[in-house]
Amino acid sequence: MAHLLLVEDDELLRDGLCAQLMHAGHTVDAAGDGAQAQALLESRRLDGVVLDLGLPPVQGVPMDGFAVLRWIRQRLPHLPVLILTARDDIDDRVQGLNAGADDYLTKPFDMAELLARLGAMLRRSRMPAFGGSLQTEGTPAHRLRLDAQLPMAWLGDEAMELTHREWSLLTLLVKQLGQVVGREEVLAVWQTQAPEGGAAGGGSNALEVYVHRLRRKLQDSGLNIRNVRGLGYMLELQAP
Amino acid sequence: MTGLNTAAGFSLKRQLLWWLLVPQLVLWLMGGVLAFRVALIYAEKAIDQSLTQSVRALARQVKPIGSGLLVDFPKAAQAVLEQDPKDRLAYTVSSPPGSFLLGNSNLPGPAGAGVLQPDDVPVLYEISLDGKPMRVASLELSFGDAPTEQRMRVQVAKSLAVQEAIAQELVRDVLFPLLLLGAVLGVLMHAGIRRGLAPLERLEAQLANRNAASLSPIELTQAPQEVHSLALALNQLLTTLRRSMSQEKRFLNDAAHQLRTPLAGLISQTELALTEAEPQALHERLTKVHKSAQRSAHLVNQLLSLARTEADVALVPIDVASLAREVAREWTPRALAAGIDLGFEGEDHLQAPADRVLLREALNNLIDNALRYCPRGASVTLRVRATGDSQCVLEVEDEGPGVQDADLPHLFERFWRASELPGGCGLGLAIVAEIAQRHGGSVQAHTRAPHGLVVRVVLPLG
Repeated sequence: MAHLLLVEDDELLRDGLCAQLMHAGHTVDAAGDGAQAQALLESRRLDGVVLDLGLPPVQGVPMDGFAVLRWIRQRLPHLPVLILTARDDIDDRVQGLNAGADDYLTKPFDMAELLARLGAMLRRSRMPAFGGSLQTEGTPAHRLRLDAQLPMAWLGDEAMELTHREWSLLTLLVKQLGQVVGREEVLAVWQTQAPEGGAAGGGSNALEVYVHRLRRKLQDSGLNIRNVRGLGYMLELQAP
Repeated sequence: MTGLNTAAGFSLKRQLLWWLLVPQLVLWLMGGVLAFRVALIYAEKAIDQSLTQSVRALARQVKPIGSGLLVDFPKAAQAVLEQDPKDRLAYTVSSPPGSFLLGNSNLPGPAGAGVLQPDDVPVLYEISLDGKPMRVASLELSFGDAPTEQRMRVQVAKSLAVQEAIAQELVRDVLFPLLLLGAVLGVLMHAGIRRGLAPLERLEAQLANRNAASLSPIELTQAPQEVHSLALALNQLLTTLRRSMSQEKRFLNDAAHQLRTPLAGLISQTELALTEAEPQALHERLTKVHKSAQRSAHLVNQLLSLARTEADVALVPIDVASLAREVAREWTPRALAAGIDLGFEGEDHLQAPADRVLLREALNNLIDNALRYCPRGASVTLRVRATGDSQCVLEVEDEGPGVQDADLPHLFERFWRASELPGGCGLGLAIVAEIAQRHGGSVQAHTRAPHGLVVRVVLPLG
C-alpha cells in the first residue's frame, strides 16, 4: 500500500510495529535513531513517516524526534509524518503539530488506532499527488473515482450524473471514508455554493433528500451512506 | 517560594533597632547643639550682668572734683577686680572718652566711636585683645556743671574664654547623663525587641526542621496575637496539605497495586507461554498476554489523564454541543465495529465555559464506558441540553446491564468497579467526576428502565 519509514528507538516496539505495519500491507524501513532515519529519508522514496519523539542522541549530539521532524520539513515539506510519544502533555502535542507533524499518537496505543490514523493521513496526502482526484478501493467495477478538476465522478467506467450539491456531498464523504461527516460540515460547504432548484432550501431536510438521491445513485456499488443518529453521514464499504 | 525570599538579609530585628536608635541619636545630637547654644546665651547673660555690675561699681568710685576726677579705688576693690589671675578683669577709665586716665589696659571704645553714647546706660560689645576675644561693658557719664561739663568713660572687660568654659560645663553636665540614658535605653530596646520577636524565632525553629513528611500542626504557646494568627493560617495550610498528601499517597498505593496485578498476570502468562508446545494452547496464552498488556496500557493512560485533571484549568466559552458531536463522531467507527448504535440528541449549539481538552476527556470516558459494557445491538445516546436554571447537561445513556442501586454512590470512586468485565480499571468515571468538579459542576448517575445506565454531567452555563 505505502512505503513507510518507522523511527523508534525501543527495539521491542520497533520490531512489533514493523511486523504489524507489514502485515497491514505496507513496505517498511525501520530506523533506531535520527542519523539512520536521515540516511533512509535521503535514499528512499517514502509515502509517510511514523516518528517517535524520544530518540537517543547520535554520537553524543542530541537529536530527538523534533530535530528529525524539522529536518524532514526543510527537505520534504509534503511528506506526511505521524508522531508517537510517551509524553502526552498538551504542550508537546502543540509543539509537535506546530513543527509540522500531520498527526499525533500517545503511547501506549491500539494498533487499530495507529493503522486508521495512518490510513487517513496517507489518504489526505495523496490527494494532491492524484491531481485533485480520489478513488476508493475495491474491484474495478465498483471503484468510485472523483476528479476535482473536471469535476466528474465515475462509478466503475460509468460517469455519474451529479448536481453541484451532490458532488460536494460525495466529495466530503469520500474524503472521510469510514468516518462520520457532520451535517453542519455539509451545510457549511453548501452555503458557499449557489442555491439549487428542486429540493427546497439548504436545511437539514434538504440534506436528507440529497443523501437519499446519492444513496440511490450508489446502489449496487458496494458503497453505502450510513445515517449516523444525530451526528451525520458516513460512507462505508460494504463487506462483499 | 523563591520570589518571597528576594529580600533576603532583611531582618525585622535590625529594622526595628535601626528605626528606634537612629532617630534617638539624631535627637540627642540636636539636643546637644541646642543645649550648647542655650548655655552660651545664658553664660553671656551672666557675664554681661557681672560686667554691668562691675562697670557701675567702678564708675561709682570715680568722683568729679571741680574740673578733675578723683578715683577712689581702694586696694580691696582692686583685688576683687583682679582676683583671678587667669581671668583678669581689664578696666579703663578715660576722660574725655578715649584718653586714658586709669586702668590696667587700654580698652578700645565701642564700635562707631565718636557717636555719642547715652548717659548712664552700659553698652556691651566684643573686642579682640591680644588675639583673645573679650566682652566689654562701657559706661559714659557726664560730670561737672553746665559750662564746664565733661564726659568720662568707664570700661570693664572680661575674657570670653570663660563663657565657653561655662557653656561646655553646662553641656557636659546635661548631655553626659542623657548619653548614659540613651545607652541604657538602647540596651533595653534591644532586649525588648528580642523578647518581642522571640515567638517568630520559635516559629522559624519549628518550621525549619520540617519536610513533606512532617506536616503536624505548629504548637505555639504564649505567642502574641499577630504571630498567633500567622501560626493559625500556617496550620490551616498544613492541614490541607496533609489531607491532600495522604490522599495522593493512598491513590499512588492503589495505582501501584492496580498496575502490579496486570503485570503479574503478564509475567505468569508469558512464563506459561514459553513452556507451551501445543500451538492452540500457546495462542490462548498469548491472547491473555495481549489482554493483560492492553489493560495495563489503559490503566496508565487513565492515571495520566487523572493527573492532568489536577493541573490548572482555563475555562473559556466553547460550543459544547459541537464538541460532543465531534467526540461522538470519533467513536462511531468503534461503536459500529462493536455493533452498537451510537447517536447524538439535543442542541445544535450550546456555549458554556469549559476546558476543551478536559471536557473531551470526560466525554471520551463516558462513551468508552458505555460502549465497553453494552452488548451488540444496544443503543448508546449522547445528549447535550440546556436546563432552565442556566446549567448545561451532558449525558450518556446506555442499554447495558446497568448497576445495582446500592452501587450507584460508589460509581465515581477511584478504582471502584461495578463489574469484573475485563478492560476497565475503575478510573473512568472518577476522572469524569474530577473534570466536572474542575468545571464547577457535578456528576450524577441513575439506572434506566428496563436496564442501562445514565451518567449525567451538569456544568454551569456561565
